[in-house]
Amino acid sequence: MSTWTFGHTAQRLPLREQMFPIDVVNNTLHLSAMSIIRERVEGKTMTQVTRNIPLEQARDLLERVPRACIGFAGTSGAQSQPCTLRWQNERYFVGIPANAVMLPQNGQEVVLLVDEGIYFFDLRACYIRGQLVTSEQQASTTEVVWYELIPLKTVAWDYGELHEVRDAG
Amino acid sequence: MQGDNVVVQAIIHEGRVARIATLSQQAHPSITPIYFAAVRGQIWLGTSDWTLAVRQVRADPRVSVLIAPELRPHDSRIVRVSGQASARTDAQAQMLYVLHVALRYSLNPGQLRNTLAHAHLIRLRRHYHQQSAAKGSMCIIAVVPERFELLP
Repeated sequence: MSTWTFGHTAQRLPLREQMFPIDVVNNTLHLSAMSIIRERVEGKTMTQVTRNIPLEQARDLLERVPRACIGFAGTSGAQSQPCTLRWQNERYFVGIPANAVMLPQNGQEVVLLVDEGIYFFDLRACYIRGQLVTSEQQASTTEVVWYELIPLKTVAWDYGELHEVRDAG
Repeated sequence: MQGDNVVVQAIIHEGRVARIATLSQQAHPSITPIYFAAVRGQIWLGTSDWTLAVRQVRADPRVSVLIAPELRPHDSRIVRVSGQASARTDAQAQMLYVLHVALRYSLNPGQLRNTLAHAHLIRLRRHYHQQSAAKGSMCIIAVVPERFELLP
């Protein structure tokens, strides 16, 4: 079985078709037509437009932090919380007001969103999924509780940097 | 705090990007920035039915939305709206949402200037939207507010 760019499959002739010539002819014609289509498709480079950028291109967001918030599972569903971010030595320190209605638990999975922009081509963001642990480096105060976000997955995007990439098919 | 509080209403009116927190069926969180409009006392966010936010809303309708008054950048207050969300793909919702966002976003002088400044990307933006349309249909995440909070 071979896989096309569009995900169609060209099947090998089943045993029955191999034994009965009339079906072999029909299937051969079918396969030939499909091959021609496949060649025409594969002869043309398939591209996709993406907004994704390397995280390095969005480092300024982690340094300036125009807007930052986290999302996590609360006791009554999804919880969003504005936060403070300190990005130091490639480490993410997240500060949450101590009087917040709900604080993430130590070790809890969260997502951190740092973004900016209002108009379409100005929209940029860093998105980090990870585990939040109580910070030993940043001392919590009576006003702010500090955590460190241990990143598991990080993506960044910038609509002002839309570009084409080769379609992985 | 009620939704008709004048401060809450002003912040929602001055906001342009809502950040909606959602959960998967296994309680994995996500938070997504999306354009939005206030429609009939609800918060409507426009996206596509194949996106993670919609899949999670269908798995768990309990959401939390942050709205900051981006048009007043020196105002650091944020409104958090907690409520129940549903994913709507009906034509009536789509038309109503498109009308609201056209007035709020597309016909906005700032957006027009932004588009002209990036005229070289208009073709790619069109292809980007066509890619999205090919994966599925337009979907409105309609949030029925249960609680409003004004965060400092």
